[in-house]
Amino acid sequence: MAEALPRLDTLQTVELADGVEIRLRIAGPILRIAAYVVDLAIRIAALILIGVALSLAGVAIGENVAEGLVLLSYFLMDWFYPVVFELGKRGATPGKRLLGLRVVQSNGSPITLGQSILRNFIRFIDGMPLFFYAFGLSSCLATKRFQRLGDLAADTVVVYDRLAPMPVLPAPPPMAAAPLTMALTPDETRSLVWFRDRAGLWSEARRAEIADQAAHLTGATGQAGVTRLMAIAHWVQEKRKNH
Amino acid sequence: MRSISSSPEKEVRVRLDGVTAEIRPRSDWESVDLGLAMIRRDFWRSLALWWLGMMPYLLIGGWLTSGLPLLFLFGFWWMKPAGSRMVLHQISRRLFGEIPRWSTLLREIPRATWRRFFHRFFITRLSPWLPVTLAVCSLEGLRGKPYKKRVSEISRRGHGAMMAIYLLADFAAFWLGMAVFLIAAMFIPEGQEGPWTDAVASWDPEEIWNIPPLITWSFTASMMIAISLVDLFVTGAGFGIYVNNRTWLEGWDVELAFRRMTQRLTKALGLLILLLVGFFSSPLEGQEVENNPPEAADVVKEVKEHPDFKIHKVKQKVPETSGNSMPTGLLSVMQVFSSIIGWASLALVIAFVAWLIWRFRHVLVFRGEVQSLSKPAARVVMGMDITPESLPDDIPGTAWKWWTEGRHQEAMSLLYRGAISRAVNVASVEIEPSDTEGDCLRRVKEAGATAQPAYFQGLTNTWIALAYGGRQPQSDEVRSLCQSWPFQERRPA
Repeated sequence: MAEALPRLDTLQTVELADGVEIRLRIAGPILRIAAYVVDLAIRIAALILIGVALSLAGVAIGENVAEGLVLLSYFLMDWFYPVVFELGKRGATPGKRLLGLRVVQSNGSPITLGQSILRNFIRFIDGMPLFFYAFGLSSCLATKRFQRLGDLAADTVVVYDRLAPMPVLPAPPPMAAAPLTMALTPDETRSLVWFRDRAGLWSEARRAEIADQAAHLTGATGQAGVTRLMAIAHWVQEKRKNH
Repeated sequence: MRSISSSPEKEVRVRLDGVTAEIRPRSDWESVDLGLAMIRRDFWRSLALWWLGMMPYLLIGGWLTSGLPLLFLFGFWWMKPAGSRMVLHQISRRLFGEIPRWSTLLREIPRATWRRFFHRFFITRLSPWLPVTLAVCSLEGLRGKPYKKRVSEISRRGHGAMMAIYLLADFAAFWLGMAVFLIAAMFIPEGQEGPWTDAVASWDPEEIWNIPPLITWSFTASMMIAISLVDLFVTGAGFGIYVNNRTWLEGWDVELAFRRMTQRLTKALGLLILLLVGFFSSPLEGQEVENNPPEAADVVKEVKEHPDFKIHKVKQKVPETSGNSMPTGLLSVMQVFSSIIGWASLALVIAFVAWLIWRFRHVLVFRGEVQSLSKPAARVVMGMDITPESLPDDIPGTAWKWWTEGRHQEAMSLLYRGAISRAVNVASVEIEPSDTEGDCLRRVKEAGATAQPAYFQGLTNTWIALAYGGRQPQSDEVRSLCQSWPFQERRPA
């Protein structure tokens, strides 16, 4: 009964043409807020620099012109900074890049100019009331794929771009290799490999408990089961290529 | 059912079978996201439980601090783990497939405040790991040494995330409180602002700390709402980290995978005997992917070397302004200097705009309806050249001549090719180069009478029978096809 319901997950499976499936690692609001703060700092710094440069230049090009240019750059920075950066090769503003995030379409492909403009212009509404971003945050927490209103309108998502290395601690290498006696699905084969690679993180008793669940495959329980499972995993990883 | 325990006295039973979230080893932030998603799934229930958990404080604390809203607010903030405890009770049970009944939940309310009161509200209250240790304390029910050992195990991963959440949470609550305050202000009906404007007017700038009660109370209420919302999600995030750390520490995902494997294997026992024979020494799927990367890398390199992938750069040289008079004093040096900066910034802006236009020039190329209207007719269909120039002037005549000479295949091919060519070029049927025989027939039928669908149907049937079925048509049939050719031909006189 619980199996029938879709299980909650942060990965979203997208089916592409030809039945190929990819999984998008959707990113939640907290890192996105951090990325926004970084971008805000960068924008403010850039505006200060431009302001200083233009006020110096104001002597030559006239104060009104300089003031106009400051306002113009403020306007461009406010509205087009994310638009331009998110269209780039990395699909991310500098802040997002720093935190390992990226903006993509909900099917995983890079966003288009229209989507970039839409999602960033709707920021204005996401930012309500005033600049407190309560609307955007609520929308982000309320939707399955952590989308703010701009994302919903433009059909985009923010995903993790960098894979953190998974900490593995393999158990000592087994003495023997035992061939698989049953056909396993790729997922099951992967879980065998996981078992060997992560067994170093678990206590002896816990290893035996887990290996007992695969007693059907190993034909043994307890420590004997662990040894047997290690041997099979070893065969799967190392020896099978020679067969 | 199985048990995981660190102490022999107290055992925590975890039923992984009915788990309602995908258990997999995640990165820290992904596990935080999963926690947020758990709260989202049970949002209203969790929010109600949070406030129910705070009921003891609201009653007792409200009575103790009556008339002192800011003290009441501080106490509320201090006591918020009581609310978290209720939420945790809900989402942890929901994770393992059980939806707790309201009667059991209501019984939890006093416990949320009083159980381990000193430990929860004084010893660990300001710890960044509180959302995680709350789970160790409440779900595993550990105390003393086993508790400490367990906490040190569980808190091995996720430092960065927990610390960031700890530092952000109260600031976020304040920020959100301001937002709630503003939203509430937006919803004051017109004409009803009277008490509010009175309160603001009576706020004496000389006595800035003597805030009118209406303002303090609405501020307090906004903050309470914000604190409850933020704490709800922080609790979820902490629980997400807790679940992820236990997944790493105890291999929940591996156990689940083995369990499912056993289920599948026992189910397919009958089939298994057959598979045992067949698959004993044959390689299995998966794991072969590693062989590809070097090859793929070569292909990527090759593709990237194509001129289309070259990065274009626009360099714009700024002509130096040559002053008419030589600068003499410091002032004129400054003037020249600043005018260079001025022009340079202008040039930068222009270059930037130019770069933008260049970079996104594909967007500016007009695409759409107009182009598709003037789309040229297809020249090749199914690999056959159908331009009028490639065909003889008198198609049926030539075809019949070839047929009588015994070149049957060529004759039928010419007839069919010719019919498509005429349909495209005379009757303006839109046929795509990728269309199949069936597609062509459908398009001809859609195009109406000028495209001669009836004739085309008969011809297609005969052609398909010959081309794919290898069945030679009768000579009579071919002759009638040639004679009933419906398109105008320029026959040689």
